[in-house]
Amino acid sequence: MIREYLRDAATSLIAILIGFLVGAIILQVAGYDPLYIYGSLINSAFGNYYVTLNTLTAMMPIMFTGAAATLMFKSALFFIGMEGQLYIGSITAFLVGHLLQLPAGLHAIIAFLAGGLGGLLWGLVPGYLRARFGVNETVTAIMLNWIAIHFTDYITQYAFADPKATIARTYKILPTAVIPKISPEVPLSWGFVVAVIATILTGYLLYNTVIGYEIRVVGLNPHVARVAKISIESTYLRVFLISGFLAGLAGATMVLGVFNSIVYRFSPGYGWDGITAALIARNNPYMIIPASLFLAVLRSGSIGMMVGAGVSNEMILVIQGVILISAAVPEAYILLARYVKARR
Amino acid sequence: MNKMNLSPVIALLDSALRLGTPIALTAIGELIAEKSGVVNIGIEGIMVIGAFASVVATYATGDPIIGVLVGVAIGALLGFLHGTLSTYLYADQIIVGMGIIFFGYGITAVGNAIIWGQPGFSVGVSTISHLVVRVGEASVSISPIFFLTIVLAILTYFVLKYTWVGLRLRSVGEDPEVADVLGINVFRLRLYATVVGGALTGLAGAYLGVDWGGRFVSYMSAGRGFIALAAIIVGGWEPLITLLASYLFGFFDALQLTLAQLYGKQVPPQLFQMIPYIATVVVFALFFRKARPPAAIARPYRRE
Repeated sequence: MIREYLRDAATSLIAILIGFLVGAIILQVAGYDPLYIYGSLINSAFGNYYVTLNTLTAMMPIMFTGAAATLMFKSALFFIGMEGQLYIGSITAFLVGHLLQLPAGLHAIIAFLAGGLGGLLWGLVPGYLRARFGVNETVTAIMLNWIAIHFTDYITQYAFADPKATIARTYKILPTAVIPKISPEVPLSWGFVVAVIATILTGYLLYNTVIGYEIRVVGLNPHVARVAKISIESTYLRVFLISGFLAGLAGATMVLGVFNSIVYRFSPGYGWDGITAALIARNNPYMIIPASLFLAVLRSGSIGMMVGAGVSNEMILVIQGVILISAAVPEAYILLARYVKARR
Repeated sequence: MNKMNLSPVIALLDSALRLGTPIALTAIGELIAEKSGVVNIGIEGIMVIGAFASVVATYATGDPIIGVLVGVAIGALLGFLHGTLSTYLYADQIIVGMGIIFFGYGITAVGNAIIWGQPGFSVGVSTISHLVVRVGEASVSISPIFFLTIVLAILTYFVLKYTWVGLRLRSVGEDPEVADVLGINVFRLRLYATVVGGALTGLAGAYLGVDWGGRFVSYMSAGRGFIALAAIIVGGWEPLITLLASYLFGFFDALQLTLAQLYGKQVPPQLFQMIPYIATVVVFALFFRKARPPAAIARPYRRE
């Protein structure tokens, strides 16, 4: 058990190392100084109080989408529609925050939950199709992502576009629906705390409840699940519902706690970051917290990399891609270790 | 190429052929890989890299034919990477594919900014010359890559069905253990199939870069790799039906463009942009149940 954890952790760390190494080689070839670039990445993620807060703010949605992805992968479903669910969640949270009149506090809570509900509803169609008919969930996920993105564009640029705004965004939500900051000294949304709790609860659900046990059995071996009289259909459906709810909350926290409106294409890819987080956390929900910190550092660091060092912020996608490719071959490292041992 | 004197119906079919071709090429390539038991969702990333590489090569040499060849070569190389990891190193094929997608979106955007000093899109480059066909009063130009796509699909159909290469390929995808006992090198055959799949996907990318568009745009594959995956499943892993499904999906994309041209003033364009994806989901869900994938799909083979 401990050995397995250590092996998983080692694989992820090796993969991260390879990711940065290949990134450095590419930067060097392109004529940049990789050490300087990586330095400015770290600097703009942790350099001062203000940017550190930005990093933690980026970590908030990634924890939600990371927990959502973990549930999917744990049940051996490769649904990667978190980016779309995040956008739909941002719309439903915005609509409740903008259109309904409710007392402060309660309004924020209901708008927040509405965001989760939006993500959940967006996962219903692919979830039902997968659970009932076995329709490939990866393909439907991508289609629904694009539909969600274009639909959100319609909301931000057309249906609810604020003509007075200097950037493309919707009207502001009512002040009663705003998720407050933790304190004036720490202007970080309470959404961050909720995200940490949601991640831990996902871990509790998976390892300490019957539902979680069923999810893990179905993910490990559907045949065993069938013998044990676990309904695969309803397990898949449950996973889609809970995971979609979490991914929807990711969008809600950004709208209610950060922008107070939907900004055009506000997500630089938090849904995808959650997928990477789940994969380098090796589907352990508790490890989602450090993994999403790592991805948040890349996200907020990429801005400094672009502004300060002139490297396109998509450089972090290159690094993430190499990390994933390297993390997918754990046996390569075991073979390598064996080979080195044998040579001695 | 004068589109103005075409009737709207011919213009619609014309752009359906244009937009279906990259999907069809990718689908045929990936179908070959999947028949051998390897799933490469990284085709989405290979397509965008193929597009970028072809535009860069055309920009450097001025010859779009070289651009196409470079796109195919890069695609084959990425297929080789995916194939090696998922056979000899027992990789999780889906995660490697995911990594290739991230890498592809990232490296092309970074490279674009480095080469042309602007984010998002490249300068225009020359495109490969088309054949002009007269339709009544009007004339339609058809890409040679379109004809190549049709030929490749038919060829794939015959090779898979009637040759010993096809038989071996199907056997390693259905039952690698038995194939191995019969003396077929499962690893090598799967690697070859994935390389061919990557090459055709690279060609699809080059088509986007130096045929259809004449410039590179970040994220220009726009989910077409996944639409190709849908086409394979709807086509039930049959090359010719997959070809038809690809052009059906291309038609939805064309429909979106035509509608946006006709009604773009009255209806916001974002709503039209959703059409091809909605249509794909609907067709995909309706025709899903008939499909049966190769038995050993996505499962790494290990010798006992």
